[in-house]
Amino acid sequence: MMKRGFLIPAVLALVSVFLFAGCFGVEGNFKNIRNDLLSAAGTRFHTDIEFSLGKFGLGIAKEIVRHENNDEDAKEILKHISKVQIGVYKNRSRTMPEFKDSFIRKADKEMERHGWESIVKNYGERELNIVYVQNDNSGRLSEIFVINMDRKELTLVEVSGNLDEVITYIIKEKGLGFQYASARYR
Amino acid sequence: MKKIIGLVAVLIFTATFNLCAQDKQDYKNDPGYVDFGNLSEFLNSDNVTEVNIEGYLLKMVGNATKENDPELSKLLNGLKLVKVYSFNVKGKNHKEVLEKITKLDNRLDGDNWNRIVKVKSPDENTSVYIKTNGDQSNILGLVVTSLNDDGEAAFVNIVGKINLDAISKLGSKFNIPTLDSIKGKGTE
Repeated sequence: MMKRGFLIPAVLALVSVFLFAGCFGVEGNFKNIRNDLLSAAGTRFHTDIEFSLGKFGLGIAKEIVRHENNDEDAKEILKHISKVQIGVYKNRSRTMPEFKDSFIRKADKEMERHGWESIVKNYGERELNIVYVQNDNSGRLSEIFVINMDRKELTLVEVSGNLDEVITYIIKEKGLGFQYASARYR
Repeated sequence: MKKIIGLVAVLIFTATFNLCAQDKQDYKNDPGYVDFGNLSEFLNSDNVTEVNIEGYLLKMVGNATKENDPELSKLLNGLKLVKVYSFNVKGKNHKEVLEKITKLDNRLDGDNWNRIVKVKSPDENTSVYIKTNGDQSNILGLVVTSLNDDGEAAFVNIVGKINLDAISKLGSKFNIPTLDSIKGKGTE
C-alpha cells in the first residue's frame, strides 16, 4: 500500500515532466529580445506573465480542442504551430513608456539584430503594435513576433511553425479580412 | 488573456505581410519602385501605419484566393511589393507634407510616370501615378499620394504587373487608402 501511495505521485510527476516539457519557460532568444525591448521602452516593467507552449503543451491544447468543442479551424491551425511564447510586462513606474518613433527605431534595430523584419507597424498616442516575421531556410514563413504596448503594459507574442499553411488555411476558409490600415480610409 | 488571444489572431492575420529577403533586391531596381525618401519626421504623429508586403507572401495569398477570387489572385501573383505609409498631420507639418508631395510629383513627372488621377481641392490633394513599360501595354508600378484637410496623409507604392480594374479590389480587401478611386482609369 505504501509502495502504491508513493508510486502514483511519482508516475504523475514523471508524466508531467514529459507532458510539460517545453512549457512555461521562454527561450533564451525570447528573453534577449524582451530585455532589449524593455530597455528601449525607457521605463520600468515587471514580469506579469511569461510562458511558452512547446510541442507537448500544444499537443494538450489540440486534445482539449478535439474533445471539448471539435473546432475544425482550431484543430487545423494548431496542427501547424510548433511553439508559442508569450510575455506580459506591467509598467511599474509613473513614466509613460516611449511609444513613438525613437522606441520603434530602437525596436527595429534590436529585432533586426535578432534576424526579424517588420511588416506592419501601427502606432499612435496611446498604443503601438508591430509585427515582425522570419522565414526558414526554404523561404517559408516560420515565425511571427508581435509587440503590443500601451501605457500599462508591454505584451510580446512569438509563434513558430509552418505558418504558410496556417495562413493559406485561414484565407481559404475565412477569406481576406485584413485590417492593418486605419479604418478612417474606409 | 483576451488581449493575448486577440494578439495571436492579429498576428496570424497580419502574417500575410511577409518580407522575403530573396525578393528584396529585385523590387528596388524595378521601374515601378519609388523611394519616398525620409518620412521619419512625419512618423512621430498620431495614428501611423507602415506596411511592407513583399512578393513571396503576396503570391502565397494569391494562391490561397485562387478559387474564391481568381481576379484578385492573378493580380496578387503579379505583384512584387505593396508599401503604405499613412499618418495624421498636424500644424506646420501640413505644409511640409504638401511640399514633400509636390517634390515627389515633380520627380515622378521627370521619371515618365503618368498621372491618372488628380484631385486638388481646398480639402483634398490626391494624385495617382502609374508607370508603364515602353509600349504602354503593361503597368509596372503605381503611386498614390494623398493629403486631406483633416490631416490624413498617405503614401502608397505598388510594384509589379498591375491590372487597374483589379487594383480597387486590392484596396478594399487590404484597406489601402485611395485605391478604390482608380478603377476604370486607363493608360491613355
